[in-house]
Amino acid sequence: MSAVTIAVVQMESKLGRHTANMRRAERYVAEAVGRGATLVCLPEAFLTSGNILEVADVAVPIPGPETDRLGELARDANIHLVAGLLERGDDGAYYSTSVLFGPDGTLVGRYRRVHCHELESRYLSSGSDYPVFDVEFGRVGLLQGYDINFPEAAREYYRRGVDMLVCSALVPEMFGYVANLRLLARAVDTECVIAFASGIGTNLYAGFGYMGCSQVVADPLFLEAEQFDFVDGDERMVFLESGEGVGVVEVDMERMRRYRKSATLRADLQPATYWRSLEVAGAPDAGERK
Amino acid sequence: MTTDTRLLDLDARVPQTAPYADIEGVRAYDLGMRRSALMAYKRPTDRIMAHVRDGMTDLVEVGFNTGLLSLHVAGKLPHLAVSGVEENQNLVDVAEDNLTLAVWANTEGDVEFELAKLSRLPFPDDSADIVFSFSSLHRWRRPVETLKECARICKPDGLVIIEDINRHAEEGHITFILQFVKEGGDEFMRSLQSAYCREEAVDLLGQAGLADWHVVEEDLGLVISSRPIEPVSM
Repeated sequence: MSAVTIAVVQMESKLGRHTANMRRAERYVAEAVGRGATLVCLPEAFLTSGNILEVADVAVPIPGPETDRLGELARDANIHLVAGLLERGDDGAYYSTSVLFGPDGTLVGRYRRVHCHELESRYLSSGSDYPVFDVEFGRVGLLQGYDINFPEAAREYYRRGVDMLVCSALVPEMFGYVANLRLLARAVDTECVIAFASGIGTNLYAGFGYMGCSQVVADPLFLEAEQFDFVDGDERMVFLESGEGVGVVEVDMERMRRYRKSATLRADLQPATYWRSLEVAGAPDAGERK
Repeated sequence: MTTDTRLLDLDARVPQTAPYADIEGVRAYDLGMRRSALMAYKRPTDRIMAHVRDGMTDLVEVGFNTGLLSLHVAGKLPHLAVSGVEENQNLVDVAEDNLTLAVWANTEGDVEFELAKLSRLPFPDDSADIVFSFSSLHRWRRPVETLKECARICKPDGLVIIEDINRHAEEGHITFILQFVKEGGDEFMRSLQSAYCREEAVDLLGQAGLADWHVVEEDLGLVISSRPIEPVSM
């Protein structure tokens, strides 16, 4: 079972409408399943929208009733399911968390977003791990929208040999252009497929919209080998610009791995030269000029 | 951006002439607020919520604009009556429309909006547990009289909280807002020019015989209260 049919769900979540947001997510999952999806990806904080100011009121425990329901959805449709939730941790802290469910409905694992924007960090805590999960179509890592800005996060997953990253996102539209650039770079950086499920709608607190642009991207050279079309620019296998909807694409992960074996740059890495203490390396600190 | 001189001409107060003169402008303003101002409304809401006690029955909003704060607060406090007063007919009309929608949506909040002079509030003495006002003081035609009225209708153990923008807020707070309001920038700056600074607010209180009230600067805002209150963190 190396083929996986990936569905990215682009939906608008409304503040204070958790029940309706869940109901609409369920409809999109059903639509994705109807189109053959075996992996369905929901946006970040899909239940609450980005309501970090009231995170103490709206965050949910994991596991809890909300993840039970998501597990049921996965089991009923026999799919893998990824979703983003604002999590109330056992430690009393709050996280923006992605959860992964298997086709039997079990909670395979979670990722707590490591990178928080300065304005978020008063409300959210940062995770500290980059866990990977071996499922039937390959090794999966989870990311969230803001992490796309940090090549380090993607490369941590690269070091762990992921075949696919699922990124649940809710990114303010003013960062959309740059996020789109970075997303493609991350796919090449990590030599893997990235499923980017991105929310839309308006942040009523500050009046900006969310970028949408849900997509599934891969290294363009792999796609040339895969699709024999030798046309540049098809690295976005699916791209939803604006509006709600579901994007679906089938990817043969085994072929992706075969291609990667022949094309990877991994053997040319020089790990001993990276992230050394600047003192040891005799280099100036950022911002200093010698 | 740092600079030694103030970029913005906010030295002297420039009262606004006939704001909200046409209903379409008010509707556009209201829609903009509904789509973007929840953050701005969160702090006054939290401040009011922090002072609600068992046994309270009545809240009054002085100058409700288009009614959003009264509706927001009332929805969180369905057991309290929230009465709003506004003296601009266009604002009242749009607030009534917002209330109609809230009724359609079966909101549990107990809200009423009334057209009245802010210098003669239509409530008995000592009748309100909390008198609040948000983003309205800069439009009051007779601020000293209205302050006296707030004091008159507030119960002896009640609380008056009046929040508005501070014309002399740090420029950083002003430019921060400007980057969000985009096309509403001119309107925001006009409102800011017509707002009071701390010293002027203290002076108004003195004229109203309320020299024992408190005025605190908080980010972009001024908070006037009838007794000392804790700042609300955002």
